[in-house]
Amino acid sequence: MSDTIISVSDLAKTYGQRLWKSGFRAIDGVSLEVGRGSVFGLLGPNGAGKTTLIKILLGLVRESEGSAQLFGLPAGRAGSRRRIGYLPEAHRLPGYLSGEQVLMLYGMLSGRSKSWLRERVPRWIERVGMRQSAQRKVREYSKGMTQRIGLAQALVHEPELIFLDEPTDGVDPVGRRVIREIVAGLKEKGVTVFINSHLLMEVEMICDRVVIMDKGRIIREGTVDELTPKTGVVRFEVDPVPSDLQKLLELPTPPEVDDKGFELSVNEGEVDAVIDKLRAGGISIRAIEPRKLTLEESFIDLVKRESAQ
Amino acid sequence: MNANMVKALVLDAVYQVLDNRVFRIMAVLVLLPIGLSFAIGFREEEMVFLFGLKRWDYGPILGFFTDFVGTTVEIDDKQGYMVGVFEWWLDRISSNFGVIFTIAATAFFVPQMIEKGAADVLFHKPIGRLVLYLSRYFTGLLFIGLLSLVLVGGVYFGFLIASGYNDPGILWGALTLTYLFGVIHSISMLVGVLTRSTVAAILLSILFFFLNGGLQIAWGFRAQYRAMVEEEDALLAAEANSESEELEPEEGEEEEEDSGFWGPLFWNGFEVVHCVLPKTGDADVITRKVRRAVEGADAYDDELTDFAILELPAGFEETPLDAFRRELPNAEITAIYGEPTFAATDEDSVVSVWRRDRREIERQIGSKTRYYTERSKHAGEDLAALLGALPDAGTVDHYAESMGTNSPKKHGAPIFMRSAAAHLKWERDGRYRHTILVGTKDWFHTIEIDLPATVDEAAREDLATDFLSQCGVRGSATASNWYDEKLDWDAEWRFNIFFSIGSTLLFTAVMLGLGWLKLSRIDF
Repeated sequence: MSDTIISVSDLAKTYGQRLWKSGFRAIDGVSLEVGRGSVFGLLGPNGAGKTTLIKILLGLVRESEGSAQLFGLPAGRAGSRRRIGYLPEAHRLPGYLSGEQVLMLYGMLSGRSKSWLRERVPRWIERVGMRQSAQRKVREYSKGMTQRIGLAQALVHEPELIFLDEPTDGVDPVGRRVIREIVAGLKEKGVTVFINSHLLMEVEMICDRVVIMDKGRIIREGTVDELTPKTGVVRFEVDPVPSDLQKLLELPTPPEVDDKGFELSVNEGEVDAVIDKLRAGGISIRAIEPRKLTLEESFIDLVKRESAQ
Repeated sequence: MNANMVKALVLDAVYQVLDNRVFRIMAVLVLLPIGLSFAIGFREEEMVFLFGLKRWDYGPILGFFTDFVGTTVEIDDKQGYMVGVFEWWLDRISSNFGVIFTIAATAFFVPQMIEKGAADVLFHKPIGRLVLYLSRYFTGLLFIGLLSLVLVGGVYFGFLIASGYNDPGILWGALTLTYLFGVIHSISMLVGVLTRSTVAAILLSILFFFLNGGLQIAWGFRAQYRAMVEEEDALLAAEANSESEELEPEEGEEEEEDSGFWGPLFWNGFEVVHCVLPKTGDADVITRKVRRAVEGADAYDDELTDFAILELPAGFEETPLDAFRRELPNAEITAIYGEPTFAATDEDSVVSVWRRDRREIERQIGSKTRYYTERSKHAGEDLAALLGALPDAGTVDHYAESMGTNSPKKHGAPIFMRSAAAHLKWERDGRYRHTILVGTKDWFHTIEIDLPATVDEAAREDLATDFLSQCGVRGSATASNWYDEKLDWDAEWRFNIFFSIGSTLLFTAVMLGLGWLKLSRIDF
């Protein structure tokens, strides 16, 4: 992959390992690469090792084996951390600061000057919809408000790579939409985004590439299209829905019908024949759509198979 | 790391501390003594409230304090006494309660920093863990340093404005508290990083502070006891040598602690523990000695006898002894005066200090001859007799009056112990002389004020009062201050200030190092 920003090779992490006990292996031989400007999704059930992987990349957790690099530097180096933003899962921002102070302080901790931040902080506050509450102390915020300020904190110093761990956790639908728009805007600017989320619909909507992890290992990796294959089922939306559909289409078994249309297991060559038969029967065709697995269905299927093994 | 990051770390600490309730309580408590020093004025003859709104005589108040400390002597410098009491109280408060409050106000720094959720946001920033850890340490130090400075600075200005009492020395008190805090803060941070609990950090640090103080006191008592035993042994050995006898310990007479296995093991362990642990108990003594070293030497300091002159009377300057040296009327008087060790002159007056060994006095009581260790009374009687026997002898006014301040402490330290002294006022060859004889340890000092006989009595008395208030014998080696006296810049290593400071700073550095080591190994 050209212009690789994140490179992980045979990474492993074991917690609580002592001379007399083997410990818990949270990550077990993970290898992956993330290219510049992509939106990368990390999926997996609880305890799959997603957060541990992110924390190793950020230098918050030390790897037990393997290597992880950011911008060509070993993970955790100050040189690489200077170029990243991070919204942790269940983060705790200092309650004694106002939202605006949080952004100023963490922007400065990332190396930005006060004057540089004074120009940008109001814009980010506006962007995450916190203008009215920017002067209030964080300890007075709701979970959703804390999440919004947390997101702004991860972005205010304009990093090249952003890690978002459950960014929509506790955020209302309007807020989620705002976050989606922000991520889309970042992608347009060429910023690399690494998302860890349980909300698979969100991931499906915004990610280019996805990795699914379970029990510390990568069980599937690919683009969203690759992870959501066609099922061979085609949905036809018709008007009216004929009552004698099985007879009209000369099918051996009755198809699945609802009040707007029906679904058929057909291959691509047979679709034209179905259209001809419907037209001949005087049925208007509103839409024809090949049915794909959703990311959620694909994910559950993969995890179930992994558990069964 | 750049300047913006440093600014952010300081800013964060400011926000944290200002938000902390204990710190706010402490700030209010700091204002209390400052307010008192402004509200109550200690004047020379009376105490005033709010610059004269109400006035009190010193009598009943001083009576209370002198009863409390069990002294019956008359207090000459009432203002100095009361300021001394106030400063002593402030000293105790700041060095004991002060440490407890400052630790309670800053112990949350580390546990809050490594709290789950908060650590992720902070530690992913491009700042090393060592820098983050040390920033918390030095910010705490800075805050407490500033707060202490506000406390002593406020009290200094309070005394200056309300009492007209100028004692810049009080400002050194800030150093004691900051030094103590620096040590205990490193322990509090280590406990904080090990337990991640503010309560544990407060309790264990305070427990350590008091246990460590107790161990140090115990070590001091043992060292004093051992010195006493060694002194006695030396005396016995000297006696034995003089009688050409070898003093050999009888069987079973060896020191108890040196016998067996467990005794030496325990005491050697105790010594090692004392060497390793921080010398928090030395803080105020060191501050006093640093202050003395920085403020410059006294006008005269006799290290042999502990006799000192703080300041010379206005207009007087030290004179080389060769230029001063003068003939005394006869050899007997010279024997009582001793050798001159210091002299200072203005246009036509001289103040001088002389020294000699303390004598063994022989007295005939009836038919028996008695021997005494010389006291000022004996020296005064002898000198009065010798002066009276001189040809053309004038009147010799001979009386006893003790020297030294009766303030329990001045600037938090005992300045002069009260010493019995014999005073002789006499005139000869057109000169008026006020001779004071005072004993100290194994020596005797003669202090002489030498003026033209034409100077009127009031001026003589003013000069004598002024000069004698500035000189005397520094604190004696009593059980309570034996260690304080022993601790010095050029003492043997166990009592050396450099060793005390060095081992304390090393201990602090080790605590910080261990804290950082643990922090660097935490997986957040």
